[in-house]
Amino acid sequence: MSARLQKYVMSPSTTRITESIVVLLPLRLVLGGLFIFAAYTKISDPQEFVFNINAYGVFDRETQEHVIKLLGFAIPWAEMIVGVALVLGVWARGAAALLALQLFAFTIGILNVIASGKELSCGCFGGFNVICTGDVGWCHAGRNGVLLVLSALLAWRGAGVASIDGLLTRPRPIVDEDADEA
Amino acid sequence: MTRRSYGPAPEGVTTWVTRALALAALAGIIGVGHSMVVPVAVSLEDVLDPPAVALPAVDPNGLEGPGGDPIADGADGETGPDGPVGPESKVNEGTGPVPQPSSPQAQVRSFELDLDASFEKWNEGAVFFDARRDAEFEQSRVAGAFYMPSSRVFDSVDTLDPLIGEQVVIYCVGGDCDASKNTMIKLITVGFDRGDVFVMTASFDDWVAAGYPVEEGAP
Repeated sequence: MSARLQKYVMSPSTTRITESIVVLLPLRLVLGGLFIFAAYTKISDPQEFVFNINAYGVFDRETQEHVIKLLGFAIPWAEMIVGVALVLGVWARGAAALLALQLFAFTIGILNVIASGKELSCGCFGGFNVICTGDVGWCHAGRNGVLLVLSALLAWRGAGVASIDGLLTRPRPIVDEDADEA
Repeated sequence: MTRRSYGPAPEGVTTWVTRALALAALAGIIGVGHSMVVPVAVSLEDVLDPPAVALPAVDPNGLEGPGGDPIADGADGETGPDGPVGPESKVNEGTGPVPQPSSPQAQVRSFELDLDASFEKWNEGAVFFDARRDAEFEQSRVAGAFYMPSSRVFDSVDTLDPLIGEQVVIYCVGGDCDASKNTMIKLITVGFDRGDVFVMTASFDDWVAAGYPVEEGAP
């Protein structure tokens, strides 16, 4: 490999383009699509999702009913907004951070159910099973853990150049201070 | 010497945290708006109120108690002088002063039917609704049962309308399964009388084990 070609291949911009197309773009599309689907199943049946939140037992029905109802509508829309933002690559780091926060909360709820020994359906994707079947269990916790890691990766790396964020972000020169000192 | 490389503008932590909060706020606003226009009255009301009572507290004269127990409505029907179910069933018929349950096993709620009481309802011609997953329903089900998870109720109003007034028994996988209760609440929301809707506390597997009639294969 010629020095010139090697310099081109190893340049930060090329690496970032490769990462964007090979890693970040598929990740955004998969995660975004998955949560758009999850949101759709919940938005189409808010009563069911409110039941599900109540069944998890995280909130006291007597004193926190208003919280349960509010979350029954807000969580699905948060999933929808995050999903669309990830697919398009708009505010992707913020969206991925919000998604990671949601997944963390969901995982806490699932672990709470496992610890309490309750038998209840996940309700994560309405009446559909994604990867895990049956009642809430370790499979659901593991699945959420993987999704949490992936969303954290997106929050860290951003949407990449193959996104609206990438298109709108004007390239700026990065000064190599070490080179200056040398 | 200055080396210049090009990449996206750096995005500070403050920026994307602020954006995450903004997205969450947007979701909350849309959610509130959605809750104001949704045609379904979301409710956590427990249709079991008044709550569990002890079985020995059955008072035949208390059917029209101040609590308006759902079973009181059902007692006037076609089910005979013993009330809506036979004496061996575990249906609570008391609505007077709520006694303290003597043991957890004694706690039943007015809409709950045990296995034998459910079978008695089946013999009386009650409509059975299966609230389990569709694959489980297609594999086998109570003979004559309809597939009716809670997510399907609001989409089946036209189908359900002729059944209003019939006695309905809902079952799922038993135990702490909430599917039957969720379906029950929605059925009441769309017009079924509280006294007509029951939940079988036993599981479908219990039904099969008891040798009660089942259907197998696609309906």
